[in-house]
Amino acid sequence: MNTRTILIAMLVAACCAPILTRGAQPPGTTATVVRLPAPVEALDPRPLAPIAASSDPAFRPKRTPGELSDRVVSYTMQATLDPSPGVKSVTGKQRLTWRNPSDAPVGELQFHLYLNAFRDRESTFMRESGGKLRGDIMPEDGWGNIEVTSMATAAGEDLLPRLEFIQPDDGNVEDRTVARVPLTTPVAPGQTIELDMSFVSKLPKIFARTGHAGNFFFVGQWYPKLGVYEPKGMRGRTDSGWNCHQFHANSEFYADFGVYDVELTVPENFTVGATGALLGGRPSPDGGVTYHYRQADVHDFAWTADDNFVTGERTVSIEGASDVKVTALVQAEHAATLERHLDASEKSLRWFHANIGPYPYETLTCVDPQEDGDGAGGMEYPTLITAGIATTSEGTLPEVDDPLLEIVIFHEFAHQYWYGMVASNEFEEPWMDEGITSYSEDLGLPDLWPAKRSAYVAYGGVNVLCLPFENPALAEFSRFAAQRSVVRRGPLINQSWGYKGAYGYGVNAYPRPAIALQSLRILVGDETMRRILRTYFDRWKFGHPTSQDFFDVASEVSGRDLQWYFDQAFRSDRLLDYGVQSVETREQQDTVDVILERVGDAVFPIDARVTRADGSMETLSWDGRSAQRVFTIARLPAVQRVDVYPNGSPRLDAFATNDTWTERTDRAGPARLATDCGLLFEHLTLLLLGAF
Amino acid sequence: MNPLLAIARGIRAASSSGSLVALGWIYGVLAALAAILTIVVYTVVSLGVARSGVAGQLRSGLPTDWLIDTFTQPGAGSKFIAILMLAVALAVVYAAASVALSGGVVARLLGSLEAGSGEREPFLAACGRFAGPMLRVALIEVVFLVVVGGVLAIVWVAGLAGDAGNAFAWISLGVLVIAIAVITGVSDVARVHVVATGDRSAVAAWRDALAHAARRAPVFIVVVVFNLVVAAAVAWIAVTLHGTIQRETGTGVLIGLAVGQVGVLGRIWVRIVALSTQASLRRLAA
Ligand SMILES: [Zn+2]
Repeated sequence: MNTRTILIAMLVAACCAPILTRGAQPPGTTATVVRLPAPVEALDPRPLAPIAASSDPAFRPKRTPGELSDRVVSYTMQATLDPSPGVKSVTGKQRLTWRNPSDAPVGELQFHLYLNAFRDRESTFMRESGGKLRGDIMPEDGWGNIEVTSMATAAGEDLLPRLEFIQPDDGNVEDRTVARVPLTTPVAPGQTIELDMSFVSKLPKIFARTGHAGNFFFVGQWYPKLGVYEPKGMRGRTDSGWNCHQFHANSEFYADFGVYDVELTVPENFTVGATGALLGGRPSPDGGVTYHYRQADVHDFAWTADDNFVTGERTVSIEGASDVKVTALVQAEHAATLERHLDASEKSLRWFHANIGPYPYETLTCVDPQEDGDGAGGMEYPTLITAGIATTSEGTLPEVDDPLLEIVIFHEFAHQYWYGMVASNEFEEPWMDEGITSYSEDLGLPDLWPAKRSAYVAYGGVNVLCLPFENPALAEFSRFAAQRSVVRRGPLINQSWGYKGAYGYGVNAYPRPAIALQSLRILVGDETMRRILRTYFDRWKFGHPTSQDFFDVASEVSGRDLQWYFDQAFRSDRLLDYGVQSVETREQQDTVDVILERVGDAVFPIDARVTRADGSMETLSWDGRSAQRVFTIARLPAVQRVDVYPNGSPRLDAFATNDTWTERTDRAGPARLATDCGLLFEHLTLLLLGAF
Repeated sequence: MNPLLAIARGIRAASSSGSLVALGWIYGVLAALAAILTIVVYTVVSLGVARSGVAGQLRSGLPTDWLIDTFTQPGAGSKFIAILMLAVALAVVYAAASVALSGGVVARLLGSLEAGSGEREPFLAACGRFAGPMLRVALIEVVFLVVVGGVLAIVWVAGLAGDAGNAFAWISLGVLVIAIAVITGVSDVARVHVVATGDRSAVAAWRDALAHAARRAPVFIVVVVFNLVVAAAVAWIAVTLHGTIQRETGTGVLIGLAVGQVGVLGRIWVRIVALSTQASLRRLAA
């Protein structure tokens, strides 16, 4: 899901929200220095957020030769789209094959029926979201649902009467997004079961990711989809069982890998895009055209159909990897942006190949939703991503100063790695997908698309004026997620529905983990961080890791135990803030006391740098554990500047102003701001009150 | 009647030494108020970044670190609102001062237009003499602006609700701007009427001004549009020119300040020219 709007909204909220007070500064004189030699654990005995343990080594990804993933589940489907007004539904059949991956018999199956989130106002999704998601509002006449019309075993046993809705997360009996089916004969370990099902998916008006807008259809989360059966030891589980959560306002995906073989029938004049490779098309006996798609080693299948797409194609060849056919499906009125879609997709592919690992699939499809369907924009599905000109209105400008479209495409493509291949559990550990994706943006975007300007004055739907504000990387703004008002609300890791509202989810899934990873990079260095990310991807692709698995990789690659860092940054509500408290000259001793302080309750090792009048430098190393540390150094040459983080500031540090100390306060900077304010006042006064 | 003649004479009158004194007074008031705001902002900002490297980062604009630190600090909101309130209060002072000074401005302009018309009254004395009627003229102007603005707002909302589209948005904006310019033009003629006739009734002045504008509608509109275009152009040039000044050093900040103030001076002078052209037109039409 795309960050741009979310981040900006959160930024505004962060600045406007009632701001909680920062910790009182310790007394400012050296005479009253209080040393706190206690270990940091003793400073703050609050318990850490509980998280799943590391995965049992037996559950590292299994790879059969010729297969990328452990194919637990497979779907062979036939689906027909009826786009006529008042119908707007998909009628489907599927043969589902599931293998019991555990060493004990399994007596029931659990399914996601996501579309029932849009059934009425009482679903958990609607109750939690209040009918609003990512700035879009659920239209009153736009309800949708999914009905399973038949379900039988291959032997012909009718299972439909046994289907019952369950609510494992919140007990909301009105919620029908998860169903269970008890089996007469349990599935033995390693054995497979085949089910034949048929279903009717009434598509909602696009509000949250899926549905229709006019003749544009984005069909996601649309079929009865099996949950994940997790054996003991997988993802640190202490008992075996289904992992099948309800559809929450702020939850995305988690599913098993397998093979999808899907035939989609649509009216002749519709263009289709879907997960996987197109094997062929043929006229359907019932009218329309049937397209046949197939993709192995993915955990979902989504598709789109529209009679207004223009299509662009490009084959991307990268040495050492198989060719990727990139397809862009763009609204006809946005045809001018076809090349931008293709370029952005290609650049993203190349960046990830060079920096994270190869993209193993043969296709990538990039979709531009109809403008009324922008709720489907900025989303990721296996080998299929959506961007959207409507959500990035600058994209329609002929001169592109602000590459918002490209940023969204890069973001959604990044998900191919963290959501698509690594496939962490976004219900339970949302940071592992959106957070690492946001961090990938921090790494990739500055080089690929350095944003120049982003402040536009729009009038009547036209961008009239591009204000000359340099647009700092979004990443710089993400430091707001380190503020007390965010951090003190609770640990970064939580279930996606456990945070307080959309803001709590948004800030903890996107910018906060991104700055926590950036701060880790400051701690271990760029090269080590690069290896951590590459190793994590390589080890855990197609593997469903836990947060702890990521932490373990980081400790292993860096060669040092980093658990203390992850415990603070990911599992606690500790605030990081170090600063220079003061620099005091002791004339008689001919020395200077440089006093560094730990303002927050998180601990981070410090290598502060002192710069003297002659340009010479020295480093003051401190483990950061005590409340303060006084360094007594020679008085001359005069100390001109002290930098707490000379090698780059960890963005987790909540307050940057105290990160540096200068002998004199610069006057020109504040003077520029003040005189500009004065001038702005004069111009505005003349504009508004200029008439005598 | 030739509008160009009215404009030419208006510009000449606005450039006379007597009118430049008026310009000096108005600019002086605005600059003094801006200086108060500047000093307050400088003090608050400097205190916030005292002995921090962030102070130096402010040389290149508004650094992200400063924005986040400043606006997430306890009390940041109330500090920001206090500065905003101060700016509003200063703007109100300017509005009052400019109304109070307008009698003197018109007197100087009329003095220049009627060259050699005897002894020149001290500027502030003229201001004082007409302060009452000028305030009443301005209040009537405000009433007109509120009514016209209200009507256009209703039309606008109705248009947006009816999905009237981009063209409608642009046209309604144009109509609004022209309407404001016309009201200001009529109001200027009323001010001239007060000073020229010594009639202290604002209602009579507005009646006379409306009659004048109606009688000479085409020429009046030409002068109004001319003034509007010149004002917009000068404002645009002033802002753009200031934007080109590199303000990363102390010297740069000072140059930026100087260039900025020249722009402000230019805008006020253009405003006096607008008043002057209306005075000149009224005189020619008499
Ligand atoms: Zn995302």
